[in-house]
Amino acid sequence: MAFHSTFINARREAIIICLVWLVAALWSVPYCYSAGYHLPPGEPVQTIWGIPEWVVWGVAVPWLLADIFALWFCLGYMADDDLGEGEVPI
Amino acid sequence: MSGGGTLTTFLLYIVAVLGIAVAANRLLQQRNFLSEYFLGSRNLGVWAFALTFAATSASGGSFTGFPSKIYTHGWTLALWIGSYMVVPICMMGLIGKRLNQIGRISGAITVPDVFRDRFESPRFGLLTTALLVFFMSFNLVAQFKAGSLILGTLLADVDAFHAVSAVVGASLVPHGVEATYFTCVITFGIVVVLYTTFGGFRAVVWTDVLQGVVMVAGVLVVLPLALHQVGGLESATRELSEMTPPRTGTVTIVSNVRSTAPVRVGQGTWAWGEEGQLFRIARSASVAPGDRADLPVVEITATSQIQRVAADHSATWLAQELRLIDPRVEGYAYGDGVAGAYVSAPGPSRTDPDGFLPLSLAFSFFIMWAIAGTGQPSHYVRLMAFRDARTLRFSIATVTVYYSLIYFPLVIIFCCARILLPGMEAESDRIMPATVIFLTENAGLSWLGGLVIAAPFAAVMSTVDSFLLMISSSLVRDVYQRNLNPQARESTIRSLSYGVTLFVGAGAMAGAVDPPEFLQDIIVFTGSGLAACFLAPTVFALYWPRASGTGCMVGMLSGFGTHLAMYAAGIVVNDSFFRPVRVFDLDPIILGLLVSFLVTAVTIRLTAPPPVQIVKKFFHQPE
Repeated sequence: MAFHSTFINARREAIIICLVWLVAALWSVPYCYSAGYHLPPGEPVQTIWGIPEWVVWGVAVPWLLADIFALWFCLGYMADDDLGEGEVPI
Repeated sequence: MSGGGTLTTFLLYIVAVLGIAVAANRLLQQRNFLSEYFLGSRNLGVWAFALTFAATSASGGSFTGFPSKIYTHGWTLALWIGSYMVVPICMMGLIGKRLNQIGRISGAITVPDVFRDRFESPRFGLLTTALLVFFMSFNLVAQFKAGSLILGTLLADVDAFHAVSAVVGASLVPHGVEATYFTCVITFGIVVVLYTTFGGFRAVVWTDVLQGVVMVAGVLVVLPLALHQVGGLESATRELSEMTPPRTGTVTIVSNVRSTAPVRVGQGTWAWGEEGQLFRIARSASVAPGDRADLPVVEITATSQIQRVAADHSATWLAQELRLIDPRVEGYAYGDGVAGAYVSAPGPSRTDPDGFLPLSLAFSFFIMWAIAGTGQPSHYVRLMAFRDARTLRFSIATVTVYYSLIYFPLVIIFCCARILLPGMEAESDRIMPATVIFLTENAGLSWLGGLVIAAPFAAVMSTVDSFLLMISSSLVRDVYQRNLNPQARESTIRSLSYGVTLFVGAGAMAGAVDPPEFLQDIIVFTGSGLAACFLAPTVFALYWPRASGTGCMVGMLSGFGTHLAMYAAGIVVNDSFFRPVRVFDLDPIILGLLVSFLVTAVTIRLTAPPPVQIVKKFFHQPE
């Protein structure tokens, strides 16, 4: 007997979301650690539009890309699965 | 800020919230009571679902604790909150579709319903109920306290509020409780309990929509004001990079012989030390002639901040009858005397020699917000309530944009506040309202202050109402209807639902009159504890046909036990329950989740597979 298509689609989408989280974590945390931790005291911090450069490349840019991905994923990729009836028996 | 303007804004807001409850109650009369009262008839559209999810998730911490941390530790908070880039897609997308589907297949109304029906195990339903009531009752009391504190700040300049507090204080306030705080608890409690009890889930959702709009509007109004008044973000970050963290400690305030009456020292009063140091006094006191008082202070060490305070004509200075002597201050454990601590990681810390956000904690928070956030039962209820898959898709997109408009801008706003309002470390929980008042008054927009300050109040309300309803639904549906009286009539369920919601709300209100001390710690403990209990069993229940009830129950208990053990060990190792043991310097939630996932998977393998009809029902196409 075949699995329900909603289950199959939801599982595939969940795996992709886990991978997105992993990519975000592996980009953001190691980059910020290498570029933003323990900067030499007293030296001027490099900025882009007033934001420290390590925050821009370690947080703001991946955040922007994550938003773009999320919008594409939700609006263009996720399936409009049938979730069933909404009636609740009492 | 005009006290009248603030009061008017606040009252309008309360009237709107109560009006929503009345409208929701009318709808309630036309629908299946239980389904409508606790789940909104599983029919939420995009805006309602997106904003109720966002508002419930953004508790008071987003607008009190988070700004306080940005103010205290600087730009490193961008990394601390960084995982919010994937929080909406994780929290809603990972389990939303399947949870909603299983809820529909089983007819589940509550979270315990889902586990009970998915595994056909009444014991599992009761275990889930017990854990929910345990964690959420503590959290509810803490959130009531947070809401009351925010309300107190909101109404601090309103004369009528102080007049009412004085009357209440003379008659009703228990010994040892401040009259203003007591008045806030009662006001906050009555409003939230009334609209939640009367309107149920639908009222909670609609008020969440209102509160969600207030929150994002508040941030979007304050951001340009902050950037303008600080002279641009480039200027702010440059000044931050030259700043050194303050020192904290105590000083002695002595009364000069010429004073004849007690002299009051207000919180936030500035004073020069005998060697030219600048101090901000962190607690109010009254000093009698010839007497002295030891008071906590923050010593400003950054030259730019000292110059800013010295040039501030609105600053309040120590009265001439008083003199500050004998400062006993100490520097931060990390960042003391280091220029640049506020623009680099791990950020200055008063207590931790490794800094505010060492690498291990940065990684912990990336897991905590996105993954542990997915395991919050208050989110489950919303994920069971949206109308269809299309609603879910558009709502994730909406919340993605919504969070981006709130969280990163908050980091910018309160880095600017760090420059504009020096010395607020000792009262940094007040930085949000203080900043809003400062910015709107300077811009000649005092009337706007009341509306914007309503944002954190709205955030707490939207969290409290959800938790309140979750506890009452667990008790009415899962304990009474499904275990004690399955044949209960709808009128009985209706009366019981109103009564239990009212009773739980009143209980939380009573608990908040004399609340536990560690507010933020309780919220963190309960949030991470719920995730340690619920996430692994939920994921296995939704996505693994082989998952058994016994395996998921054991996994749930192992997550609970591991997480609790880390906190309990804190009593022995760190002398405090709320300073848990951190294995490999990781937050207890990480170990709790790891153990829970591992134990659930192993126990499922070791126990008998579930009956075929259950697997067919929840995983296969209907025949």
